Amino acid sequence: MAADKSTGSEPIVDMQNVSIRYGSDPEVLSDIKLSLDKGSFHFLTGKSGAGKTSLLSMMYLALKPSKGTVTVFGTNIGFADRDTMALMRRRIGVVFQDFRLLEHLSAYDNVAVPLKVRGMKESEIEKRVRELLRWVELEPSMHKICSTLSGGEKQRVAIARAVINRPEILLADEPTGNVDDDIAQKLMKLFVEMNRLGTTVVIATHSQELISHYNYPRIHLENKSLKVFPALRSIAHEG
Amino acid sequence: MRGKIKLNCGSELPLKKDQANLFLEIMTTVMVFLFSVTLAGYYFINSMAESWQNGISGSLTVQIAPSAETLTEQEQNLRINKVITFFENQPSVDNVALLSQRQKQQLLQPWLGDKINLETLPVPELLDVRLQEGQVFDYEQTAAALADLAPYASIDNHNVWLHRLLQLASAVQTIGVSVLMMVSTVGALSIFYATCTSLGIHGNIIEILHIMGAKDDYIARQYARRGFWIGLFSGLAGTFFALTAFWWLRQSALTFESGLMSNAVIATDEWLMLLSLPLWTALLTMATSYWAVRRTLRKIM
Repeated sequence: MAADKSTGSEPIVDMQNVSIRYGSDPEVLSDIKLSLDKGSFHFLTGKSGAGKTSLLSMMYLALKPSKGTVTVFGTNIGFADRDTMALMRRRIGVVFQDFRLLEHLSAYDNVAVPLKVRGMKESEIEKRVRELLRWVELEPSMHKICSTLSGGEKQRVAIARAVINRPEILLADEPTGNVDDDIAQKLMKLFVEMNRLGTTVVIATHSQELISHYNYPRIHLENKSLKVFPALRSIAHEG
Repeated sequence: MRGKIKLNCGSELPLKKDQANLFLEIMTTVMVFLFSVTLAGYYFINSMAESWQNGISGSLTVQIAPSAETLTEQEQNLRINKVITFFENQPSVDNVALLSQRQKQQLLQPWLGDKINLETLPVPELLDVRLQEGQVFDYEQTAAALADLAPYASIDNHNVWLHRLLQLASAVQTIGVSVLMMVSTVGALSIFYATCTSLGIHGNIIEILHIMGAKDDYIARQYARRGFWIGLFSGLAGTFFALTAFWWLRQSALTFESGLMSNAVIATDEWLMLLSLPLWTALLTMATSYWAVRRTLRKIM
């Protein structure tokens, strides 16, 4: 499977000389350069505290860099107004490591949120949410309040919420960490299929098994800087 | 498992459970009560002032003091007719009428009661002099001429005390308008700060909604909806309490009212304004909540 599907067009995410600092603390990331082509698939690795969450936060437009420029969908986020940022975020799906579900709402309502904020019709929302919840095997639990769901169920709700909008960029932080192997395989197949249909995917993971099983390039964060390693099979071919 | 799903319509934020709601509801009810009472007072004073002005400004009263000596009826009539003729000859006077014994009795009734015998009291004769509209009445000159002709007669110029009374009414109305403005401002500020507190409490949910692509307007509309219902229900409660207070005041006033208050009424359009206060309150709380959210969110993410 090809790692990078570079089309030669402008990157979907482009970071130039980006640094991140929280308040007066030392920089978390320093002078980062990264370009993600449309339709690419990358794993994001690094030790805890290496800056994976900060990097992902910039990609889903929740964080602006302290220095440098971040361009997403061709728009410099430093100059985008609030409504433009909101419209851009609708094209991005995010799976958080801690799920960040709206715990007081049902699984159904959580998955429906990205469609509701777009103003989609209720009938269309119901059709799409039901279909996706069936696919992640949560249809029987869809009316349960999220605070009553198990960790694995919450993770599937979080993933369903991230992909319901058919995003152009999908960012996932340890998406298979709380689910059993069968579900993990199924979810990875979903990400691969979405990538095949053109979605740019970045998955942050500590799982060497996942990285070695799926042959995609890897963005590695260490000592505030970033390195991109090509897909393992590409190295083997080069070797 | 194919039943129709009722979507949680635009309320991802659990605003109904906000602890600030009770504070907002009580505060808004009190504000609407104060606003209603002040506004009704304003209308009431306005009506009284108009009534005084309409009833009195075009007239004056002439007193003919009783003579110290005992006079025959003919002599007495002569004294009165002299004064009536004097006023009838004035160019700015429209009509002169002598008040009957019954009319004088009615005037004295609030002070002396029903069972008075005017024959036994040294009550002056009274002339009700109506002035022509638009004509200038020279009070000083007329009073001097009357003093020369009939020193036992004197003019009561209503405009002097009416002017003072209207000045007092105007001052009370100014205070009323200030109270209305203060009540509105304090109400709006309370809603603003309660909304900001709620935004802080629900910061995590708002962040998630933003990440999902919600615009500030989407979140602000949820607060605006909450503000509208709080405003409407509190407005209804405040107006209800105010109407109860008006009724009670009216009942109390009936026991002592005299000519000063009897003509004061709240007009239909003013009643409509008072009864529409819950709706205005709802619109104010809705707009303030919306604006507070938009303003606060601009500083986030």
